[in-house]
Amino acid sequence: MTPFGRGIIRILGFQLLALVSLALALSTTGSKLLVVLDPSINKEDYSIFFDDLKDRDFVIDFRSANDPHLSLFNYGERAYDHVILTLPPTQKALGPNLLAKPLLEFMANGGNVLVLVNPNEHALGSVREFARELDIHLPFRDTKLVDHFHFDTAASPNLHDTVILDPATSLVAPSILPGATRKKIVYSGSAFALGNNQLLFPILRASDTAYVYDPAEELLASDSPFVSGTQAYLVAGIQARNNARAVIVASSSMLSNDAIDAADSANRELAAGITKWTFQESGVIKLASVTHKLANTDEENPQIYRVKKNITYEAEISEWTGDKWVPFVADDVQLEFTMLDPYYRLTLTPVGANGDSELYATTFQAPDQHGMFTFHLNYKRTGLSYVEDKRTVTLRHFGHNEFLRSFEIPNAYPYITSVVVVVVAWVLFTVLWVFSGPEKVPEKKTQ
Amino acid sequence: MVLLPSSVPQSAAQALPLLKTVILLTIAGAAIASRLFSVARFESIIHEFDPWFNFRATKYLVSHDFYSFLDWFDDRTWYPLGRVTGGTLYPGLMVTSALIFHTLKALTLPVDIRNVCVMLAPVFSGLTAYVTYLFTTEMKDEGAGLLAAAFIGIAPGYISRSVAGSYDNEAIAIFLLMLTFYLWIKALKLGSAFWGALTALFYFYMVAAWGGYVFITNIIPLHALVLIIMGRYSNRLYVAYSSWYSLGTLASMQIPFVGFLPIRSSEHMGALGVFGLLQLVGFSLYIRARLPSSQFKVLIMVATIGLLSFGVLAIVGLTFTGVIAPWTGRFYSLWDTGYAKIHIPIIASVSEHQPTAWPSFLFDTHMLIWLFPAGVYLLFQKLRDEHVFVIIYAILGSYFAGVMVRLMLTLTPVVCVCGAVALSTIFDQYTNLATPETSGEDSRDGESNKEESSSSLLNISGLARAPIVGIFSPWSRVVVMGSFLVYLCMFVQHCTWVTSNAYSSPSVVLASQLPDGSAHIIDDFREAYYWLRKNTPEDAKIMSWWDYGYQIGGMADRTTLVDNNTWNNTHIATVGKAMSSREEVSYPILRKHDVDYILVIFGGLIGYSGDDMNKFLWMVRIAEGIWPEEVQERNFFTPRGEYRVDEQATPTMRNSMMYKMCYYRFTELFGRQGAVDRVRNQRIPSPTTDSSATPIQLNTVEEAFTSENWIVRIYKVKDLDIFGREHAAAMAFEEGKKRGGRTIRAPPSGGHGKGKARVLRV
Repeated sequence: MTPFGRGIIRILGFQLLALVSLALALSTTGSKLLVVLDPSINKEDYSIFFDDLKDRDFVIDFRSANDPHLSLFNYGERAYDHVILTLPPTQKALGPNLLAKPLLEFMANGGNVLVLVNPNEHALGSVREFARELDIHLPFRDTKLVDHFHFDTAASPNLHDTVILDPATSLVAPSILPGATRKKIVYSGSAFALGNNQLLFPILRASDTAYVYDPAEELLASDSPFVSGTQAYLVAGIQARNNARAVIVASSSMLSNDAIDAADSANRELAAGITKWTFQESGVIKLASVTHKLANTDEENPQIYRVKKNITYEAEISEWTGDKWVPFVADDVQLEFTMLDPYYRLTLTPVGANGDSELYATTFQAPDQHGMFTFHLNYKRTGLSYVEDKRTVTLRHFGHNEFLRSFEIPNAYPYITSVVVVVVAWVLFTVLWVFSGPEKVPEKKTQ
Repeated sequence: MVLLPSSVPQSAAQALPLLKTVILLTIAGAAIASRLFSVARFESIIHEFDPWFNFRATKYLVSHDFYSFLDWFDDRTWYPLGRVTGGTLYPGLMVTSALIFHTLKALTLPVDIRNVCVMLAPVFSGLTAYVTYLFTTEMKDEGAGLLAAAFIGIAPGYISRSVAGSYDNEAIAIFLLMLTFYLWIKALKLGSAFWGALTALFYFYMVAAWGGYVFITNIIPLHALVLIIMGRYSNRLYVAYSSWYSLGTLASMQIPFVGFLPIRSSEHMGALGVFGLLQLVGFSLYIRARLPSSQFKVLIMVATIGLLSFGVLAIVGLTFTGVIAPWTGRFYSLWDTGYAKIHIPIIASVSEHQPTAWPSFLFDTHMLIWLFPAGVYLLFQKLRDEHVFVIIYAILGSYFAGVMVRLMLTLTPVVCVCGAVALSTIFDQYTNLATPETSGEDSRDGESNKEESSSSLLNISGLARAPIVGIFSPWSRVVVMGSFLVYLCMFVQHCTWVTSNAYSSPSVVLASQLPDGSAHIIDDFREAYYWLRKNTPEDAKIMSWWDYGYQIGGMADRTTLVDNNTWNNTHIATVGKAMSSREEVSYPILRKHDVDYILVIFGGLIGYSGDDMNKFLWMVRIAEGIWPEEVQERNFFTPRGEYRVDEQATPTMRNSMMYKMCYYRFTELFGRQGAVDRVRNQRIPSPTTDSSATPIQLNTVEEAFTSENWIVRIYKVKDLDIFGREHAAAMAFEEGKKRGGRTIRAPPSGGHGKGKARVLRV
């Protein structure tokens, strides 16, 4: 059998498997997971991590980084839903299919990426480039995060490079690790810096006293470390505008069996939290429906309204709990009614559950300004999927027959009266004029 | 040619009405036929810019009922402001077409509404010829009337706005103008309330059809005022004016766009004032008949001074308090030609609002322009009431035509009328073969002269007996008549030539000649508009300079940001700013206005001079009017004050959105010889010939379409980068460029390419 034929069968079989497991998937976007492993990495060292993923119904395809048939796309379609990249220390690059460009394209097509940077090796070119496009700046090779105040005395008595993190202060995104836990996080590896990208989602950072130490520069490094303190990030993600997610973990060792098995460590829960967020199992909300209509009428989503009419806007939002959609309740969902600038910014009130989604509604009077207005629902919160909906409608002016009639306006009575008086007076005058007839001197009137 | 009704024999007199009808029909036929060049050469297509809106509105009216047309809120233009179209247009033209369309349909003649619109202007020009005949007949006689009809039928000044396809308000407005004037003269002559009411009726039609109705609103009161001052007040004037003014004003207020203007705007105050004056004059005459003259003198003095000062104070006071709207910019620019250029660039930017160059008088009216003063002089000779009207019209028309090119149109009818009067007088004199008995005396009275010379028209023997030299010699008659016949032939030839060459281009489709002389049609506009229609979403928003708004709405059926109805200067300035700023500045503007596509017109490749780069300075000026800090005209000129697009172009120019979109990839078309802009005859810096030149890079928009001859270029506005990068950075990455410097040592500065300070995260 040719390698090509083998590849086909493998893909077919894999897709069949994926199809079967789709019904069980816990992720909202699918369960096909590609794990790019370096041959040098012992899968057994991460068995707990991968077993946990398998338990969550992911269909894992383990592939070697130097597999020539490895491709993220199959005939232009995304071949996988999620990718975990571990960085191979033995190779110069990840191969042509895992360059930064295909990875970004994979995300642009809705795929999620989890990058585990190997602690023993510098991040390779393509991943460094990938991370930089997301505005995450990976450190130099061989650098280490050290903390002379919080370190694992057993693992690194001298170098202080196996640091202990307190989730209470280091965990920037508490939603990743739900439930108040006082356990510690064991970490060994480097740390990266974050740029200004507003889509970034920092998850875990170093403690105040930590800094990145570069063994190559010896003492100088401590004068101006790459990053230090709480600006040194260990885990950070990004949610692209299409809701595709990517997370970079600065050290894959954090997820290894050793770290998970360490006494009192929260690493296993953290790993679960990170993968759940990355693979769209947690922090996922969706807009189930949007309707707008004239208040107290039934016709939904008309294209045109009139100024000063009462308009009802309703939106339904659901949240994914990992196995089903439930109503998403929040008190900060807002609607903007915009024409260039918002004319209204209204907080939508949760009215109640409607099936598996929460119904938000508001009723307002359209402004006295005609134009093309947009119902803009823009709910973007860190860690949650972006919910944005724009619907443009026309707000027309009063029609010629939609004003009050004059006799309905009390203020108009004097004018109406005067008109009537003039008409009556004119008729009387004409009658008088006609029937009085010429008497004495025939006058030459100008009329 | 010239008819002398009293001098023809009995049998000929009976045939005269038939002859007149035939002549008038022929004139109308000629008027229509000479306007069909564009249809014959191109096709039955709507021309230029404004007609496209009128056409679109007509289609709306035909497919909806009249009331929904009246309440029409157009959400396809001026995004996102929209336009209360039903209330801001003159519906006369559309209603006329719709009526014709429905009538033809009722007569089981299904005609495409487009053809109705295309043919409307020629048909109405035939009617104009007839009305001009009536009008001129009132001035002199039927001979002059027929001459005037023939003149107006083919005068280029009128044809310029009424060729087939030129579906604009002026197409019917000139007919209505002349008809209203004719009815006014008739009402004045007869002193009839009926004719006055008819004047008001057609005045109303005129108000419904064209904003130029203000011309009538002012010229009739002026006529009345002049007559009063000349001491020609009469009951006829009183009746005619009062019935016209009261009915006409009430009727004109029924047009939503006009509304309360007739009693609130300064332009209409003259008519109201004269109306009041007429009442006073009438009343004072009534009083005078009853009072001794000494008392009357005192009374009239006191009353005049009192009322005059009261009236002036009232108008000034009301203007200051805002009850009467102050004069608009367009009005000021009628008096001060430099006004618009300084204060309202948007008005000055329209080419038809420029002052007229003198050759265009000759171009548009040919020999009539020098017959015109002669005609006015001849009218002065008689100076009946109606002649005063024509004289006033001639003076005002000449002035306004000198101020604005487009007002040539209102001058043309009076030029034709006066020219016809002059020419027919000449013909009257010189076809009259009898030698006046009292030679040397100028024949002042044409009427009596004709009667004297009755039956001598066919007296050929007179030719032989007359002396060879001298004013009354047959040869002088032959020379004068012959030369005028030659002039007339030249006039016809000139009119046909001008119509054919200057005024019959639809401007939507361009014609050019190939080197072998064969015609070549350049159809880039329609190509691009149909591309938009077929390839963009139904609700796509297109940004372009306002000139093309109507065409995009009409041909591409897409929403536009601004169009030729330039009612909102700020919105136009916003587009100007987006076009003249750097990409980083304009992108937020584009996002805010939901722009999906940008359309620019670029003539540099084939030498089409009416392109956006040549209009660019107006965009800059209009934008500068609103944002003087951000857009500065000075920065678009080289230090030596030149407008350049070559390698000497200023950085502001070269980084402007418009420049980039026009010349994007332009140089790639040319090989080693370098890229030359054929409109501005300048060399565009090309990387192939000049190593220091860098290719133009567009980050926030991408080229979507470029038409065959590059006249229309359409760009799609990119969405925000999904990874939150800046577009320039994303583009650099896409093109495989490394970010500047190694970013490993990222913080605290230089981490993100641009050297922007990084924000510490908390």
